[in-house]
Amino acid sequence: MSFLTVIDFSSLLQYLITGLTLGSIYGMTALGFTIILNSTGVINFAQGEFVMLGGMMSVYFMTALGLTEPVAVVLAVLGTTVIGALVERLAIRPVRQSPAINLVIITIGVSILIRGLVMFFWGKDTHVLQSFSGDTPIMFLGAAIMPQALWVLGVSAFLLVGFKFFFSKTLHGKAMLACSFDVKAASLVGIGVERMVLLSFMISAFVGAVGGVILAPITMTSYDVGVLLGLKGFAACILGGLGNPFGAAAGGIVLGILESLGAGFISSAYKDALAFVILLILLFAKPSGLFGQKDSKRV
Amino acid sequence: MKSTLLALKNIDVFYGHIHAVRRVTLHVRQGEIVALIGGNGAGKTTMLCTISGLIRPSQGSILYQDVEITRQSPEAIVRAGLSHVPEGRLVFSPLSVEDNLHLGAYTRPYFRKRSDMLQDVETMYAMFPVLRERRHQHAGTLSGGEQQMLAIARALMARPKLLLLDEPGMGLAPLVVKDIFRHILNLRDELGLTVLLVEQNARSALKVADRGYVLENGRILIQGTAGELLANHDVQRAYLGRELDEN
Repeated sequence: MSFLTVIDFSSLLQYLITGLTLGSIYGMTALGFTIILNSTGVINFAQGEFVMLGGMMSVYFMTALGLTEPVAVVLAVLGTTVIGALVERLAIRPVRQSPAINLVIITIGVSILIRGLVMFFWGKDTHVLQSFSGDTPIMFLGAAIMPQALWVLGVSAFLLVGFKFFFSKTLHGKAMLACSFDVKAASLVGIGVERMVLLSFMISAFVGAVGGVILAPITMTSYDVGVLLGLKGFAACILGGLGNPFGAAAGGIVLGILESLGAGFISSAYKDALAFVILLILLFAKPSGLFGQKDSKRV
Repeated sequence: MKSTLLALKNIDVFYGHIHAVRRVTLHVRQGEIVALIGGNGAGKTTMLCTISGLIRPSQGSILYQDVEITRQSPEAIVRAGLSHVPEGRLVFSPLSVEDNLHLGAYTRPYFRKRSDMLQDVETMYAMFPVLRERRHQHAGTLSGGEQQMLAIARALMARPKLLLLDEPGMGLAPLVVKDIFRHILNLRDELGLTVLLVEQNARSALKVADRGYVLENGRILIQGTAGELLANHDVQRAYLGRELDEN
């Protein structure tokens, strides 16, 4: 019945903004997946844990060490980046020659380990991080926008532009892409492939943590938020076309908006299910994803 | 006699249980074009990949300018001045021609010497004018011959002293092959480059080469000057497609 109620413009706008906010986080998680996938051929299922670590470490640095929020947030992002590097060095590099599927399973193990450690040391409680610039909503055409949502949108847009620049304009960005196209050719022009893989884990952890930090004031955070976020991010990746970083980001936004519209017009109880149902339908209709390129090359 | 640039001593390479290269010893002197010929699966590509550090030999040593490079990383070997143009060209298809060239200069001090690098890109365009026409196209859309030129130009961007070329004529039309080989001669004559060339097409290879080695089942069977090899009956029968009875 509820979806028959009048769809007024301001609530539609409200759902769109909520969806866009959530979708940006899915998109950032998806971007993290894609960067590691491109440099290693591995889906890193610990990506959701990077997002969780961003939020949880901020909370820890504030409550246990008494740091101010800006300092705690920056430290949390840097800390997660270091953890990303450690994951690569300790869990991936020693078994780098194994088939991709083994590495994927290792990343699942890593994610369980990280989740377990966080639960063990910091507990199972759900924590709140304060909004960066207060909780007074900004009214815009009848919709209420939380200042934190603007933070999410702004930071995501900034990161996306940054990555676009990195991958299309800088030599190191292109070198990273080159590794994903052809590892052999990349080593032959003198690109240190191992270093690029390390860098990709660090960048992915960084993006994940930034997403986790800016999302924590909206959805709260606990040791297990990474599971669902990781899944949604992965879904966003597939939705946008696996391997395409900007498709992944767009896929996240589409997923977020669908979810929010579903929650608003149908029922919030089914919001997670709805997103995945739409994903399934899309995959039946267009298996390469919304922005996936058809494989075509000259032989 | 010119100094030896590259020397391989008793190199053995295994792929699992397969003994792909057996006790190979060869050398390349400064300014020479040396051809490594042999049939499919003779171990030619394996040899080049071993020199450029992609494959580790189980035994033997590789000296470049009298320095041991046997267990160096591919990156260090490129830095030392040894560039490998791989079989099948392996250009970065989704990147533009120009980006491919820039990546070729990856090992060079990029931020300080950007103008040098851009100067070298211009040199490549002058050498291979077709690349200039296609500079903004994706490398994957180039024809086979153009991709080969791009692969060579990309390798040259690292400013190597020694170029390893793997089957530059593979899959190309005879006229294009001729053009590629003309370029290879130019590289030596004009840039003073030393070239180690792997080819199945023994005739074209020996036409431009000074010396050659014949590899069979991972062993060096015959070696000599290009003239000697072209005149050798075994080489003629096995690799040049000439019946002995004709002589």
